[in-house]
Amino acid sequence: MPDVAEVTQSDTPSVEAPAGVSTPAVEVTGVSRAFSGVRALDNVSLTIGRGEFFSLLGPSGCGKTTLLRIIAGLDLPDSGSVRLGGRDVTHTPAHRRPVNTVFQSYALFPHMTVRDNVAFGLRMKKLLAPEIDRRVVEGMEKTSIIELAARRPTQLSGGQRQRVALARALVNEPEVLLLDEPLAALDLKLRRQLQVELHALQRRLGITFILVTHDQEEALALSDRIAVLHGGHIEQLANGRALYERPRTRFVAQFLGTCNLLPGTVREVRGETIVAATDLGELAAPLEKGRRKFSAGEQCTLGVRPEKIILREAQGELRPGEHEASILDVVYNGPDTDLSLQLQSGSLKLQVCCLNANLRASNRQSGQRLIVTRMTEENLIVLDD
Amino acid sequence: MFGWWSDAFAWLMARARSIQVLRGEALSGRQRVLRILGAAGPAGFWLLIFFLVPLLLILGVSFLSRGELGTVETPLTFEPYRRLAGFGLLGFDPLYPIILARSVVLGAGTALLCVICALPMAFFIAGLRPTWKTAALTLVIIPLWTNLLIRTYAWQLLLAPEGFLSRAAAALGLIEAGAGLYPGAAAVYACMVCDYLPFMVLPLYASVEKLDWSFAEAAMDLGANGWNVFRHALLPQIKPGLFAGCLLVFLPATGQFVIPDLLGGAKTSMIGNAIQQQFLASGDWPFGSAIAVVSLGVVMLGLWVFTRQSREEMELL
Repeated sequence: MPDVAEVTQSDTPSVEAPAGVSTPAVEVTGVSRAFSGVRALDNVSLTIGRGEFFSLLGPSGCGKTTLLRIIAGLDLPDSGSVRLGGRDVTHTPAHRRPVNTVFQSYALFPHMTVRDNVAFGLRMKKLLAPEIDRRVVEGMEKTSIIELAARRPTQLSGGQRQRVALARALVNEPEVLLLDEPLAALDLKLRRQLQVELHALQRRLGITFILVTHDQEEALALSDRIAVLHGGHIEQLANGRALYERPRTRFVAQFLGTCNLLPGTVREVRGETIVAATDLGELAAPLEKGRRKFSAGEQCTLGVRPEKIILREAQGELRPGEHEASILDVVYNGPDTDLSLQLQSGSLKLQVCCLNANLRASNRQSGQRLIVTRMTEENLIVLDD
Repeated sequence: MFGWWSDAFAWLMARARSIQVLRGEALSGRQRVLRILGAAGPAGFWLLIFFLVPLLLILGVSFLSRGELGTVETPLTFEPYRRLAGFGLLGFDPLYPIILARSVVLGAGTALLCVICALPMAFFIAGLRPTWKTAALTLVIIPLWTNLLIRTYAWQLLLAPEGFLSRAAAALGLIEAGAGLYPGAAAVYACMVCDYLPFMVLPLYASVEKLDWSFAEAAMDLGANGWNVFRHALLPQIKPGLFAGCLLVFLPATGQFVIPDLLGGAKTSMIGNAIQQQFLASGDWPFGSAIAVVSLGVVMLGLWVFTRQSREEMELL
């Protein structure tokens, strides 16, 4: 059973919780939860710092919402504990926890106006009426819904409901704000706009945000750190850049963006470099400290992101480490083009994304021949499985 | 033979399609009237014959006077209503307003007790697994298959001085030794609740069954304790069921007179007794009709106020 310290320490130095804080905002230790025999969470531990924008990312059914509900107190773990601001709240009921949630369905009370919805939490705390009014108006101004105050939830658009749900949670000044796929129901453009607003709001308020999402772009754009969940356990916990550039497992590599997998055999391990024989010849890839050990002769998988493969026109001699390939399929995306390549030697296929920097690059045709240039060590990824 | 069948079927299908086609089109006034009559006619006719006409007859009779031999005769008069208000032959005596009030209290009290009993039941049944749910609902309905009088006599036996419930109550010091729980108000209410509970449980259950619990979670998350979660997140959702249940219990319970008669010791008269007495024993149809009209009016007025208050919330749900 790994303890909290181990989980955070084993990350690369740049991804630790913000320093200079005495007690973390949230500590989840060894939490497991099963629903009628099916494990939703399996011994999950993580620490979230104060003022951090933290994301739980994963496909549906990975346990991310269950973890959020356990932190909120809407579900109880079978084992393990939850601490908020250093205080053990594992058995504290939801209404006495200093956290508030923005639900995926928003769950705005249909029989109340926007103003009453926003005031609900403060009324439950039995604050004085003038104090409630002041904070409700302030909260509605912050989320720019003040002109909707007298409306009912049914008279609001999706984006407006989302703002009301956010205001309703934030007026309570929670220590931690939990967001359960808050933008999933909105169309793309509105989603992008609200992402920007959400990010700015979190920076301004300095409240710890925990966002549950299955949208990797959303997680990358918003979060300080991201925990990728898969099958009830944390697959990898790091900041967005580290997750994308240095994924540890096949799942993380392929859930965040696209990744070409190059199966191979380990030739030798030199300090922080691993050399493996693959269909693209012998390739060297970096292996950071703290990663699992590889030994010569062992099977391994290297990964390379589609945009990190450099192509050149099929002219002149093949230099060492270069390979000839033909285009199988072209998907034109505007700023860039996705190419499926078939290597001339062997059966390996590669996904390549190249910037449409000039007219020739933007006008690739299937059947065309290209040369895949030598892979640089820093662009290759070693995967654990 | 099959040819005839298929011809008929084809004709029916063609008609169905033509109705479908017409649905979106503008209809002439006459067509529209014909269509509404066709759809609502049978039910309207039924209401007219069995509801509206008798009601108007009662209303008419209530303004007539009683003949020598219990017949209904002309001079039109307000006398029955004057008597009902308490200005009888023997000076002022508000007997009938009191009877009406007593009946309304009985109806409202029964409805209230039914709500208190039915709420936990509805939540309990809604939380059961599907097979048990059906069994529980059947158990709720089964008492309705028994005759009202039999159920009432059963309560007489149960609550009689020598019954074990009375003995238990006596042993606990709640009543005098040797006394019975029956006759009395407790016996009346016990039997009333027992009889009318299904009418409250079923609509409430229907509401509880389709509760959206995400509102309860949101309320909990915002700091609401158990009672506040119920009041602000659940109660607004089950209001339609509560409203329907209260109507279904209050209306018949207000007119109930057999149970108060048999279990209350025949000491108090209910509005039902009063009407029955005027029609059958005294043969005073105009007066009986007046009581019926006024009690109907009072109940309708109460309902109108009740509906107006809950309408806004009903519209939202």
